[in-house]
Amino acid sequence: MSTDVTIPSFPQITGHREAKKSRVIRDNLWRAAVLVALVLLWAVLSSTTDLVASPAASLNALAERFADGSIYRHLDATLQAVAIGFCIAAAIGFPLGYVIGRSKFLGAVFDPLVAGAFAIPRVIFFPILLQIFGVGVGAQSAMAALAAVFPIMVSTTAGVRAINPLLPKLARSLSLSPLQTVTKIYIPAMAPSLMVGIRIGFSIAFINVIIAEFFAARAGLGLQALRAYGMLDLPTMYGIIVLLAAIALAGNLALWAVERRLGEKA
Amino acid sequence: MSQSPTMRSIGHENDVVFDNIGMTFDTGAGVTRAVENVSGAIPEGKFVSVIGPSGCGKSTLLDMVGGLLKPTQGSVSINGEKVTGPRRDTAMVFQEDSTLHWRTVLDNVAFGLEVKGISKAERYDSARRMIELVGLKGFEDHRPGQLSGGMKQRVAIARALAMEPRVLLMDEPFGALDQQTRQFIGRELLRIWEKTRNRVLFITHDIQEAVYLSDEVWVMSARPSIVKEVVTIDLPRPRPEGTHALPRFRELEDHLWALVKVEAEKTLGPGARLA
Repeated sequence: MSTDVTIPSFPQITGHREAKKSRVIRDNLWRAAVLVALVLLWAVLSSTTDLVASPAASLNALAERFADGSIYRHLDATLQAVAIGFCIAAAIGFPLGYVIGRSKFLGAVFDPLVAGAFAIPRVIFFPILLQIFGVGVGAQSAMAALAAVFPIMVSTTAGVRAINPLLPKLARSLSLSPLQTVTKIYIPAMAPSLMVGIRIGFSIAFINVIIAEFFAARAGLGLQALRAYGMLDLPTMYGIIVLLAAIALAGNLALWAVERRLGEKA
Repeated sequence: MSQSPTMRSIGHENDVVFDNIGMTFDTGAGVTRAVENVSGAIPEGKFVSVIGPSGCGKSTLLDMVGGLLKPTQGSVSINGEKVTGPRRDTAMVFQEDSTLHWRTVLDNVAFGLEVKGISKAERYDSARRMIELVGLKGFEDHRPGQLSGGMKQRVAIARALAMEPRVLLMDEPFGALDQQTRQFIGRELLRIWEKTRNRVLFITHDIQEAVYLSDEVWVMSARPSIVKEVVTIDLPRPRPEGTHALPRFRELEDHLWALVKVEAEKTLGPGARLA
């Protein structure tokens, strides 16, 4: 095939990279400003009531916990429970959501059940999990898994259904192997919804681990916060709240950034 | 000007040959006969269009050549080999957008070669040539989301051409485009095809498009569909801008329109009259 023809090409779209860059800087400055305002608000509140510890005292208390090493056991327990719980939820939720999304029959059976069960406050099952796993990271992880499996499943199902129906046909016409069809068509096509599932699954797993730790735990940041509160050690309690907020924010922001990058490609 | 399809010789060994094929679907609500007793051949280097009323099984015919559907009667063969599944020497272009939105234009066009296991350098090389051929040079790093509908169809056409198929199967590839884009890209397709000369099976609703592009137009009847008539388009090639205005073009168009009208009226039910 020769290509010695010239065709009128489409006009090129020139980038507005400079403008975009300055907008990013501006947005980040405003984000920082909002955070600073929130801390200031906290400081003002703490000076008006004894129920709120000051930011300085809280960060100080938190730093002490890190310095004497007593926080690590709790940090470990919480993060472990979130990680294990999330992994179990992902291992069950992704394949299950995928299968329900692909099959008309399974969709008809499970759609209303999943949608309905989504509304059940899953934490109500925690006493049962405690009986099964005993007090410890096992029960916390199971709680996180039980809670996170639903959003992961639902977004995976939605993702499969949103796939352009021509793409499986294209895969067949190009003789893709089943493995190639999944890795080269399904996973990349579904990537944005998979990321939504991961992000929401992570948040829900985290929330449920902390709630579960309030109930019964041997170690964990939730347990520590509750204990500090019981001992009226408000600076420690607020310090742990800051730590929890920081972990949630960092984790979610990282996932959100990945999600946005995938979204831009779409 | 026309021959009965059953009277035609069944073609040479290296043609795409339809040997008395039929297709029935069991939908649960009853058996639908989509295609019946279709025989014919697409000779080497020929552009064949199929027209007919909606739902007459045009796409079914194409899917059978592409190996996506197995005929329930008869067989399709390419170069003397019976089609039993998707083949490496056929490539399809669909009506709706089938680009991979997470890949760049370059990686989209190279996709077919990539899954075939062609090396990166080699597949990018031919992808670049195809991108230039379809007039998308400069857009290699764009993603489909940044392109218009017509440009996305060019990407799909380039992807199919990059496979260097012996048979190009196009299922109303311009059906989702606006009239202007459609005419423009139709001319482009003809220009490209005159260079590649693969065998093309082209499904369309548009009679003018069929006449302009094809060597032969097969008119299908309403369900159960047979090829009612094969009309040879004896317009000289290459076909420049003014081709549409030739008296012969009008004649062929009128003849095809008359054939299709009868079938469309059947589909639309008794008493239906088209202007």
